[in-house]
Amino acid sequence: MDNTFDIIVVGSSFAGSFFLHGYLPKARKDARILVLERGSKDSGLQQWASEKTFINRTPEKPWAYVIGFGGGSNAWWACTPRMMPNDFKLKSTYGVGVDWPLTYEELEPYYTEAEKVMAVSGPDNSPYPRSQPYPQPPHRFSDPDRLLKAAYPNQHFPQATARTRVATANRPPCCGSAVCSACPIGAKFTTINEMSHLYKDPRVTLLLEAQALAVETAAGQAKGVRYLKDGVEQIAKADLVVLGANAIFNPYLLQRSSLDHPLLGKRLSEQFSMGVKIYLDGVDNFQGSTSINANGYMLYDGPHRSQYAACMIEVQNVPFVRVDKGRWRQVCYMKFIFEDLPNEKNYVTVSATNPNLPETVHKGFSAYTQRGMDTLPDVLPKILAPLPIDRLDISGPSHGEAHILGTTVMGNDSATAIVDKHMIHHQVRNLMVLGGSVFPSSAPANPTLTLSALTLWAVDRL
Amino acid sequence: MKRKMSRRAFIISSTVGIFAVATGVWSVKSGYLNTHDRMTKTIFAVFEKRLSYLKWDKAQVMSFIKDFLTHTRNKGYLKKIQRLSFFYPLYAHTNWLERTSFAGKIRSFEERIVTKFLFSTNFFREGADETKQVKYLSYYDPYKMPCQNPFAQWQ
Repeated sequence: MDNTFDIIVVGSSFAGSFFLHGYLPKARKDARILVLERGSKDSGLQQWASEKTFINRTPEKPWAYVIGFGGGSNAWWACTPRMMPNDFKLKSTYGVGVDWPLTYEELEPYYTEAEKVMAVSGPDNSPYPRSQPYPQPPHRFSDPDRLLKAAYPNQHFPQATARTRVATANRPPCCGSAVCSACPIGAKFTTINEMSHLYKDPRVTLLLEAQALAVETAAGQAKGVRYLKDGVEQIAKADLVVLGANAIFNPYLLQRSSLDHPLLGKRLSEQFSMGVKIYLDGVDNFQGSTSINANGYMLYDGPHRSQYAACMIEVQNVPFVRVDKGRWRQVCYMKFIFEDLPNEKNYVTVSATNPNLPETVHKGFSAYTQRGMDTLPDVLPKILAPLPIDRLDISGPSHGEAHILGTTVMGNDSATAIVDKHMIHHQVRNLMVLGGSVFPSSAPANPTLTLSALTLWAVDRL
Repeated sequence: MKRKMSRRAFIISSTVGIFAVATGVWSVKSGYLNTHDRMTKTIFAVFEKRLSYLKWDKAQVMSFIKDFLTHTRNKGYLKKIQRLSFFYPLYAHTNWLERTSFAGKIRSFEERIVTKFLFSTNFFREGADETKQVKYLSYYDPYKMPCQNPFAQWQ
């Protein structure tokens, strides 16, 4: 194989696939793009995060990822709310955390494009400003949702989701099996079911079971990627290198490439949640049409964020019964998802005991997040007052939300950021880093739609 | 000089000894020492404690329990059932655990078992009629048989 390309993309998950989606329409007819995917296409051989691929020095905080063609898109739950405008300016609005180097308004058109690709189902009105309606109509509410909607018309919405409400050309409508991590009917968006055509483009060479080892650089320029394939190390050369791995492997690759920076690998973060089981009095539940019906924004944005974390409420429709004669469906489960502030005590680094593996250290979420969680016992009776309730069972905090963020942070100042606002490495100007690793903060909203939109935003400037 | 045991000490030590032997005999005879048996009995206790008013068949329930304990997707959950099963006598024959800080976990356990069982039967498909016989059809596995959630309304 001729190992010289115009572009090398590492990873075939959301970042890698949305890069191709944005770039191919404007690429030259004779462009050569190599995609290095560590995993295989065989779903039976997909690897979940394990000690074979990383060392977790603080195993009480597990991390979840999938290695395989399509990456995390094979395992996500397809929740696609946008971040709120103030999530991008937490520091300047509330005096905490970090501001993003771009605004919601700048990213908005790319949110719209990403939602179109995923065929997102969402509400007619939404908690954030939109220039276009959602591609698909909203999912059906449950009866408790209808009560909450009546009480909070501008704060309780059908969840924006890439689980179909109506069929697309490639996907049937969601039927509420509620095992979305491995959707048995293919209703959930994955890069395999909706973006595979990109990898069949004659300009794209997809190399499976090819593990990127490091970015080759010389004189401050990326020259290519060293990778391992069939036990043999090889070098592919390119004019532009794009890292689209997750927030454990992106910084690890940069560290292995000796592209050091005081913040590289630091601020490993994600959201944390509390669970609330609500035993209802006389109201049946589970009439919704998908696994998660709604998002509540009653605790999200506001002056409280100067003191404690924002929270997004997720109303689940994963069925389970109440063990109470005749009251089988009078129960509801909600997740209260809290943002966390970035903290350098949580990080990814090259393992000292085995440099062929990254290792993670996470010493806990912030006091800011804890203060948010501490408000729940007082706040819940007021927020849930529209529901007739027998009892509440509060559990948690969770070990996390299966996201990985923050380790190659984006920003305008090269002293405090790895990549600039267009996701180009501050020092190596033909190296891009995409994905959740660039997030300066972990807002309560699920990050996948945002990282996909950011990828389109970055590609648009190439 | 040999020290004589007082009568009081003799009664106490005899009582403790008899209790220990009785507990040991009971543990062996009841299957308490056998983890699998203990877990099976703990799950069965959910049916006796919580679903006694439904018309279920013991053999079918045991068949369900066997399927539950051997299903690959329950592997991670079995450790929790194992831990609970150490308290099987308390759980099965008293309500003490439900008055402790474990009450929420007990409820979750019961909900999980009952959900899986009732979704594996004709119960919800036939209108949740508590006067009808509950028949175990096949182990509810939405990965193998999707779109069978009896509550979902996707129209």
